[in-house]
Amino acid sequence: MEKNKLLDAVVCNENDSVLEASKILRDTQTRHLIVINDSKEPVGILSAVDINNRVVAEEMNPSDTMVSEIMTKPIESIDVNSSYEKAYKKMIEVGTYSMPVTENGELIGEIDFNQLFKKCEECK
Amino acid sequence: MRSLRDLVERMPETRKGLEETVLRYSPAIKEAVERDPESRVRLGEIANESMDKYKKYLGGLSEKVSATGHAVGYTADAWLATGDIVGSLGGKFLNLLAQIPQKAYSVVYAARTGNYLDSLQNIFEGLVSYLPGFTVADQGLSRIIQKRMVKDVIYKMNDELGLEKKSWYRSVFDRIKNKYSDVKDRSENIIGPRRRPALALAN
Repeated sequence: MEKNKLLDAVVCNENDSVLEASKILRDTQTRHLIVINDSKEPVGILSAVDINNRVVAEEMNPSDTMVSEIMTKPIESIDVNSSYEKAYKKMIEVGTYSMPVTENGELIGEIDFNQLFKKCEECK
Repeated sequence: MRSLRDLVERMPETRKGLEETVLRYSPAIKEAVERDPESRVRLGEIANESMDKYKKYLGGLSEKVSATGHAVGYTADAWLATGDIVGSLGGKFLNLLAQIPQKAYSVVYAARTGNYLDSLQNIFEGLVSYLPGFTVADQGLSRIIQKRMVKDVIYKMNDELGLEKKSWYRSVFDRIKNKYSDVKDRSENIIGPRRRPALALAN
């Protein structure tokens, strides 16, 4: 995979509060966050729907709830040295439209189906 | 040295020289490559691409003929001091004739690369250089192409590092900062190719 063509990943730390995570979602106008640990390894994913369903609807306090308590985990990621074909197969297997990309375990970006379609177009 | 003007400000002839010139002209790129080793690698790659694209147009027979003409032109400019205006203009005319192959080649260069303004500049400078004392106005096609390489690399590096463009998360911040309370610049929460250390500076 080409590093320069990866997408930016919006992240939060697993120790952030849900309130902070919801503000990051708002301030970046994104729908999901990749949750990383202190070593910048992706450990989970958190969406706006997760916050609604697992915190607000459950009447939990977003200030007191840690992201690590409600995030979806574990999360599949793919190494940057993998082929686009492998990334495609893994995304189909997991049933997701985007996936974190790592280098030596550290998060460096994201790839989604759009990127893969563009790559297919270039290969024609 | 491809032009007399190189005595004052030398233009690059090698990839390394091109990188150095880019860093000299653009403090923002210099700062970015000092902070991020990957940007240094990209600078080398982009400088290589630019060299590959333009190096073949540097030099050649037309430039040698042009340089000979310029030598006659400078002599004719100096000859003006004797008061022999007609003799001086005669020398300058020889200079003008010697520039024709280069100006024709500049049209070929423009047609192949799409840099028509470079060709127009070269022809215009050639015409101005016919004026008594103005031989120096014609810097020659090679120097114009060398400058084009520098501009090309700076443009591509700026584009790649996002130095002249606002990052998407900064645009979002600007758009919503007055809409909600406690909106923050979330650049620290972005990981990816468009979020490099240099961007934090640019923002």
